[in-house]
Amino acid sequence: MIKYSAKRILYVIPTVLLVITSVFLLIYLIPGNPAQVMLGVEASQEEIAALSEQLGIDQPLLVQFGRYLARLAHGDFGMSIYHKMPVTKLFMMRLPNTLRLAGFAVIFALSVAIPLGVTAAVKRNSIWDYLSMLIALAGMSVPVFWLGILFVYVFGFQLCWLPISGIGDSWYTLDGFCHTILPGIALSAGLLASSTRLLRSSMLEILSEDYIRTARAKGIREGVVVYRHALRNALNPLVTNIALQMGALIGGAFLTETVFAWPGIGRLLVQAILRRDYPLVQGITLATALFVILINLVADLCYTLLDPKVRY
Amino acid sequence: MLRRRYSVLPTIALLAMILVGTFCFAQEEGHYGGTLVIATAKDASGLDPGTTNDNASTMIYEQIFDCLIAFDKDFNIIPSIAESWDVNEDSTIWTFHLRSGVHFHDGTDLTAEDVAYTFDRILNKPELASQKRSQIVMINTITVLDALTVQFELSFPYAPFLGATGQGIVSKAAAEAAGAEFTRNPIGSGPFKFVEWVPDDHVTLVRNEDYWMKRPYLETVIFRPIPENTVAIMSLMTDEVNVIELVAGDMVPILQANPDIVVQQVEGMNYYWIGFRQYASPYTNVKFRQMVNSAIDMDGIIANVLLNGTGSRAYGVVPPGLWPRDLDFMKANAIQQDKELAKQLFAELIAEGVMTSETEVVFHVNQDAVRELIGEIIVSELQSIGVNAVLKISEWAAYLDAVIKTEEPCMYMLGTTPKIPDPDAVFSWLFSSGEDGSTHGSLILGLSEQPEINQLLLEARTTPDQSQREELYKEIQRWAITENAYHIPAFHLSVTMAHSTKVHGLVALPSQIWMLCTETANVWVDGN
Amino acid sequence: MITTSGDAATRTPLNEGWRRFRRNKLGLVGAGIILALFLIAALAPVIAPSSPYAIVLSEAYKSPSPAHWFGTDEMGRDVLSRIIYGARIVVLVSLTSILLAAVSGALVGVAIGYAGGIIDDIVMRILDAMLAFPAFLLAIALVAFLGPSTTNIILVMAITRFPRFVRLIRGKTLSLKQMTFIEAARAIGVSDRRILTHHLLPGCMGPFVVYASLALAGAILGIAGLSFLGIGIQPPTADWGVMLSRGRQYLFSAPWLAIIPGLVIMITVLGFNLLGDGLRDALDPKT
Repeated sequence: MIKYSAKRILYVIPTVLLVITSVFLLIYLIPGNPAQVMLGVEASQEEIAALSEQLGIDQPLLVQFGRYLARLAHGDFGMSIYHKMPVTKLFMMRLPNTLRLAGFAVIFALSVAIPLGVTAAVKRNSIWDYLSMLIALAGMSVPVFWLGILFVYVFGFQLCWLPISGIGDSWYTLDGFCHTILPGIALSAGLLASSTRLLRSSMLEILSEDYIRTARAKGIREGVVVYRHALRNALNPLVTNIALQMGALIGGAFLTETVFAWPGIGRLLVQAILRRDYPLVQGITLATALFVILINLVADLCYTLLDPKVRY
Repeated sequence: MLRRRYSVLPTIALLAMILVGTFCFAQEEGHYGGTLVIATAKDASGLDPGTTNDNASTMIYEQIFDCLIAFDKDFNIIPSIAESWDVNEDSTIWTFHLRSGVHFHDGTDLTAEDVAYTFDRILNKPELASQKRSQIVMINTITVLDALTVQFELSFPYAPFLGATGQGIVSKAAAEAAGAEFTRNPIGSGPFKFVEWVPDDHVTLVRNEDYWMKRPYLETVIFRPIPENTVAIMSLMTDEVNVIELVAGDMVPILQANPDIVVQQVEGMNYYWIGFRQYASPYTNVKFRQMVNSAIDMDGIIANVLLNGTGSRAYGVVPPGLWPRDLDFMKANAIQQDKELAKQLFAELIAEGVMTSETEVVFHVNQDAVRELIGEIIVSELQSIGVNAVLKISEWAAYLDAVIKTEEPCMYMLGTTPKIPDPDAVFSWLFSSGEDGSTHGSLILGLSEQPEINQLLLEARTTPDQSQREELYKEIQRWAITENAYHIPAFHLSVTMAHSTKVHGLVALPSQIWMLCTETANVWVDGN
Repeated sequence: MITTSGDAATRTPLNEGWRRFRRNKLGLVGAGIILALFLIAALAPVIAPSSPYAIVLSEAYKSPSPAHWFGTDEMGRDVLSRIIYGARIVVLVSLTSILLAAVSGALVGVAIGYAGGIIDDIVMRILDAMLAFPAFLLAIALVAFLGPSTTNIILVMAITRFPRFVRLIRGKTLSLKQMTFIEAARAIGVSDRRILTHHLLPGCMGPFVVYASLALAGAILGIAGLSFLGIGIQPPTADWGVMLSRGRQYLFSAPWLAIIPGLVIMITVLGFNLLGDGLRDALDPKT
């Protein structure tokens, strides 16, 4: 187990390198020049050439990549071409917003999914099962930007219960929390549904296992059987799923962030790609890649904790 | 009976006038205090007036900085930081006399040193990557004559130079101290001071109590970028924001019907067109271009896509508010839709071997709701007369690459907004060709060198005689559109904005600037 | 248990599965929806009242009426016809891409899960990299290099879905690998390939089917998301995602344009999800 963990942690480096290289290649090869985008369509070619030279983007690809790696080794992630700010500073400014949203989404999704999934499994094929599944599925079956706009329309506009857009105050204030609710729920919809379904599916399998039958035969209360014995083992695919979705929640929350005017990482990345802001794209991708890979690592290690049959 | 009614009427009228008069008078009085929240479509890219030209940034830093000159509602030039100016005979030496007693937001005085520094940094600091450089590239030397007098010497006579001096004056000390950070922490002398900028969330400005011109009514101004237009509209209706820039024409009547909201529209100073890249047949053939004109009902398309006053059909390259429009001639000579004629021309082109019925005609546009719609309609119309027309949509960066760097033959669609109110800003860029040609003339439009046109452009730029300039520009416009159909003039986008009735004194301007506190305006909001 | 129907010969696993599936009402609803989708897609030219591409500017923004049941869009095109033809795109793009991802993903997943060792390590690291790669960048790159065709959208969807299938099947394989029936099979001398195809793969069917239906649902939503960003299916092709993306700005002025595509997408995606659940319940040998 220890050996496995050490091996996995070591493997993070080549994986991240693979991501950086492919992102670097891809974004440089697609047509579009950040200097041209920044200076606008009316700029002369001399101005563009001058800016390109200044930014160092007129050099051959290999040279640029080499320089990038060298700077990276010193912890220098470069300057965003568009924002004219160090990439690290820009990223750190936006990260708390994204974490706030993602954190809310995960907590909300789990708090609803676990009771719903367990209910659906325990009271299988009853009205509770159907209702739980429908609730979970409905939110997940629509594009998140549509859901977001509907939320804004109903709760923000018609009922005026919650603010419509923006981040408001800091996350721990009431105002900040109110601003987080609508986008957080919209973002959690997909995770909520998939978690509910996976938990139900998993619980159904577990509940028919022999050791559950044994526990019931021993006279252990149903609640304890369900929650202490069954649930613990049923969480395995749930954990994998959340880990898999983390990347989408962090870097892929673009759609939610646009609708709710939320200054997060997702929007920053998409805008950077559209503007060909190379250093920013590479910086964000590097950070999200690291994060996703580490999360997957933790999830894989949790496999063994939750399901002792899995051995590495 | 008639007489009695008539004698009551004047009394009622008088009473009404008194009431209205009092009401208006009561509203005329501004009210100090309050916050104005403006929703914008995009976040600013930087707040340094010497670097960027984009609308989202300009509308914010215009409140923080003053310029040598200013523009009133009708785009006439009025003094601002410069009280007066002299120019020599051939428009090459311009001397500006600054007003005294102007302070920057950090308390320091504004002097000629700062003015000189402002222009110098745009010209001579490449790390600024200034988009403004091309506006003032004709400046040769800048001399500080004394604390309140500065002189510019131009390398060639440039009649519109006055308009080009509209650059925000930065504090030399603050800019040098801050370096690259200045764009995130701007210090100017304008009516509002910078407080904070949370990227993609909001920019907050606060009243400059020591403003030299007048005391602004507004206490705080907040700019909030809200990318989803529907969400912005809902924010306006729930009073989360007070002002929004409107995009879609279909919302105009709905907002107008709302008693708490005022919609203002004004023709924008811009020009959008469909061009034919001169890189391959059939685009290089004038009959082909005329055929395309005949196949489509441009008036109808614009009326349907830009409804409810959000745009108007363009007939020439000169935007509304600028000169010389030559509208009578351009309108009379605009090619109307005539599908039979189009089919006939198409048949002739095939017979002459210029193209076949299989030849793919590509209309390449970038991602934009209006342009995509226009593109779809035009492609559909062309297909209906038998042309193999195809729509291609690219995102902006890829689009620029395609229409500038490559020689891809196609029809394209672009727009321009002159940064200074002078026709040279439009014509030079659009039609100068050859080695010294502009990016548009030589690369995008792909014109081969046109020495006569270049000569006309040069003459028009340097001649001080207004009427002569008009004639020259008219000639160029007719050459480009009426004779050669290089462009199909499409539309002029209107500036449409909606604001709460709580907001007073805000006027929509063709340049899309918010005049919050200027010579002629001082916006205020109701209540507290 | 005494069976009430036919001979013992008809009690195959398939019959059992079908019988149990019939009992799951939600699953039947889901199946019904999907069946309707396929029928509509197949019969589109027959049942659509008009062409989905006929631009009639004077008829733009008409609200739903007997002439146009779902109203018209910003160019006067009949929305109902566009929805009907849109079903074809949905079926084509989502099914193809998920089929591609699912089959290749399952094969790779079961192979590396069973094999373990260095192969497992390398492939998993490549997959980690793929998962960490921003999907949007991939989409833009593909469209930039190869053009904005429907095939490329299918490719993008397949590539982004592939890693998850591999991981899921691999995970299930890892836990099945240790089970007694696999050990027994190996002890008897069953070849590895036979173990993979006849014992492990079927054991993975449960989560596979659930996941495939989730993925199908996700693919439809993913394409809508790409359309939101402007790199989905190109106009003038009638696609629900594009219609929704364009229609959302008309929430106040022409709400049918904003709501109807969303409803249609929701019902379809719901259908796939319900069907997936029904299938899982019916096929799992343990419940």
